[in-house]
Amino acid sequence: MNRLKIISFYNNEKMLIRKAISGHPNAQRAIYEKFAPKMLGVCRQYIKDLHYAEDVMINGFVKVFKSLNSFRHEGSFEGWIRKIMVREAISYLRKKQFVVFDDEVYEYNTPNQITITSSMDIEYIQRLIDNLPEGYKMVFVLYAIEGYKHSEIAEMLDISESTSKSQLFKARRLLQDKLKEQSILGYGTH
Amino acid sequence: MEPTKFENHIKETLKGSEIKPSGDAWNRIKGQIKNDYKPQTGYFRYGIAAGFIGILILSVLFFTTDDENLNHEVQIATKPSIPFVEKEKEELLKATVPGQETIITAVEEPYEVEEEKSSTFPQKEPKRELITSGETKLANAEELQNNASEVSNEQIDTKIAEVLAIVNALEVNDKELTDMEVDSLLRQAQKQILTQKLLNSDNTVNPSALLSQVEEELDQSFRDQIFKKLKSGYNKVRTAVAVRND
Repeated sequence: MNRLKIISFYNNEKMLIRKAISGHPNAQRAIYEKFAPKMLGVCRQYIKDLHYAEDVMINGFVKVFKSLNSFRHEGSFEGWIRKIMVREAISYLRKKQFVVFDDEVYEYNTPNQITITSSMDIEYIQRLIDNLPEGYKMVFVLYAIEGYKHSEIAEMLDISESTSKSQLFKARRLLQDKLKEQSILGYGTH
Repeated sequence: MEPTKFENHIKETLKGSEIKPSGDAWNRIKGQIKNDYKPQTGYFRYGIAAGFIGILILSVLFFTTDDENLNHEVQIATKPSIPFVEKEKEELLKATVPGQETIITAVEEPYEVEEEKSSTFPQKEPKRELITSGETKLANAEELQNNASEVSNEQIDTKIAEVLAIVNALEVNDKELTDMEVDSLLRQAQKQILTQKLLNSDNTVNPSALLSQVEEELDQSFRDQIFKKLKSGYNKVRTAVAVRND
């Protein structure tokens, strides 16, 4: 109820941001209330443990509020916050040394046909991704969900483009294997 | 490495995923944000309120001062005139023998003075005021005149007695008195009454009354001289006619 009140009060996003920049607590709270659930979902895609994911989200929001001045209103505000969260999650995983990128080169053949069914709900998909190795997972999420290019992923993760591609290939193959194991294969993708 | 249909499905599914954070999350964020925010809106509102009050006070002062000035102007135009008229009338009534002519001039004089004084001020309303006040003053003047006549009756009676005594004394001495001579005697008595009144009236001297008195005396002496010459001429003619008839 309070959230709705705050958001309806600051229905103009620019005004809300301007207020938050000036340090207005209600404006900052309104931004948090509006974007926190989505951003925790983003962080959760990279970090299996929800508590850690929340820690990452909190650090991400602290960075958001501290660097609000640098937001130029050129893209969407949500996209800008999302990028901060992704970088924060990556930074967290790298600090914890969870991420290992193997540089084994694969031939980038067309992936095997992966069949999806309507029963693939969000929890099931999230569980599949969670079981991927950190390196694979990061590249897969960045590429398949966030929509980054390999060049961007390479820059973000401080790896080569070819490594990014090989990580994606491996992630796909693993997912295919997992789906085969679950016997939910039915019909092809392409 | 095009995204597969499977990946698109994952993207669509996970993009909209939301997880509600714990209740403590915001407090932790708030604790980490160095919040130097000092609400300025309060001061701003106070400033606006103070400015509004200031403008209100200034406007009230401005309009009040204007009204005072206007009232002051009106006071200048009206106030001095009323006491002047009253004083003038009272003095004239005290100083002069009751008579319609003198009272009318006493009312007219201050009206002329008022016109001169109020030439720099709006004249319409003060004039009305003066006219009405003048009318009321005339009524008052009549009352005062009656009172004054009652008071001076004794003096008049004594003077009449004196005049009668003089007339009787002249008749005893076989001197014939004409109506003119009787009139002159009465005028002299009138003057004396007037002078006594002037001296008895609170030791104050009215310059206009004095002036009118002097003028009257001059007229009187001039008339006396003419009367004397006419009388002597008449006596000569009368004796000449009598001698010729004899």
